[in-house]
Amino acid sequence: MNYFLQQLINSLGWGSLNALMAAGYTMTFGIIGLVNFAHGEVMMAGALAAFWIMVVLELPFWLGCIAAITGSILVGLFIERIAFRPLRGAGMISLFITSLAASFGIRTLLIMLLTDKLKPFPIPKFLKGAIVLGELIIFKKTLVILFITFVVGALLIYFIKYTKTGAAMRAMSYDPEIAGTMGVNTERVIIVTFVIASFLAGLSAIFWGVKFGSVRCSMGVLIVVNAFIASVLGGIGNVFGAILAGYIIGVGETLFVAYLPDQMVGLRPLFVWIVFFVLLVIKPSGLFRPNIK
Amino acid sequence: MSGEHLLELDSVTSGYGKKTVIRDVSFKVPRGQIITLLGANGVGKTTTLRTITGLIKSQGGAMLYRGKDVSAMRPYQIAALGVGYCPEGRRVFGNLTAYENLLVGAYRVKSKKAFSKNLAWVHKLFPRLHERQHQLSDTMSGGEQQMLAISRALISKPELLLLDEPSLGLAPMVVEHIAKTLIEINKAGVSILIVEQNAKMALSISHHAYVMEDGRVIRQGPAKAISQDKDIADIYLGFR
Repeated sequence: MNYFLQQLINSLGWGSLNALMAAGYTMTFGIIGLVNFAHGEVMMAGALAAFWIMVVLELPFWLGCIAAITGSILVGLFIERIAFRPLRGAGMISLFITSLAASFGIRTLLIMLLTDKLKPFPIPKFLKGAIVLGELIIFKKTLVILFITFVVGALLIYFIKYTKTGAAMRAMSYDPEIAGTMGVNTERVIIVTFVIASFLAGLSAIFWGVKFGSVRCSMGVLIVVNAFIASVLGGIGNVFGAILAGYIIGVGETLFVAYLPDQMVGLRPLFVWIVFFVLLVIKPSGLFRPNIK
Repeated sequence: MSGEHLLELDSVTSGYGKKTVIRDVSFKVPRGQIITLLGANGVGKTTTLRTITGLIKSQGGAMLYRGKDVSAMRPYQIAALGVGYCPEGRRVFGNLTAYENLLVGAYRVKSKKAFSKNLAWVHKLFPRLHERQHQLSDTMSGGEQQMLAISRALISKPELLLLDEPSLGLAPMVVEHIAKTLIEINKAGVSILIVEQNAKMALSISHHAYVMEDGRVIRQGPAKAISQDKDIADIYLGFR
């Protein structure tokens, strides 16, 4: 029982990361039908920017955080401009292919420049250490990650549900043409969506670095699959659903690995695909109401 | 500057890519009037409205709104000029409640007070909507969705209201209610351009009518004259 609880607690950081990545992913998925394979690289860009600021330039942690957010937003907007805007209205498959190209291109370029070796992600003193509760160890960084995710998630959901722009985003996910005729500047809303999604990816990058202590150029490869499956699980375009689904997948994946025999630990990525298969068989529309037609 | 006409189309040609659907279409919507575009299925009435709203780019001719050329404008810019659009097939935002649909319809309305005033007006026109304002619009009946679609086009208090086949698929009583409401809206100062297959309903509320066939305007005149025109009846019944 203690083993289970400990693993559960350990999984919360990873769950939060998955939740934020899924939330950003579902937003662009809903609004322009984009299955964004490059979202992992948007996160990676933020992580590497933070590494550069903190380790290469030896600047403080808070600057690293700003670099992560900024880096992710800039790369996210860059990809939108180069890979997605020219294909506006082109259909899901074309958008998916171009996102694949962006993903491979950015990742390969950075691996060529920086190698795929692990790069350290130093954390400040206040994030180190743990609280001991009986036989359970709760890392301080896990609590901080949880808290920030809760606040950001709540703000995001409030924004989507109770503001005019949020309603416009949901309307665009359902019927972008008609939303335009209501006076919604669809291009601008798309940009805002990418900024938000990239911001969430940048935040996830910081969480990754804090939790694992290191980052690498290939870090985006598997998380993007989790984000994609989580957004389908949560209902496409549904931010609340994506956050919940992100936790389900992050926590589930960790517990899955915790109970596998040691030699089979490499089967970790299989978990999300099992979830996906079961989801498509039982309830393909997802756990919550999608925002698309 | 043609100040007396709210909307003026002059020899507009439009379509989808290489396919031209409407040719040399000209008509005027004078301020304060209800104008109708009639024609059988497929003549290009919807294409005409979609070109006006900027969803399709025109291939020739001029479109003037309050004397200003709007041919190159994007849909949100045309909406900002004061054009409300009620598309064919309702196309309400099914994932939003009735109230949220109106919120999006009022996207360019800046002041909360103006929004509340318009909301009250719309709820007076369609009391059924007021009852169901927090209901998911996906779960509403066809008639309720049509009322919602019209309300959504009106919530910004537009100068010009464009309606594409508002009577399609609705029970006669509902159609009558909508017709009466459109007259009321017009009296409140909204000019209306209505596209309809249901010639009887449209002509009963319009001042002037244009008849389309094969992508062109083939006849026009005061609504009463058109309604008594035997040739029109032939076109509609497909004898030509």
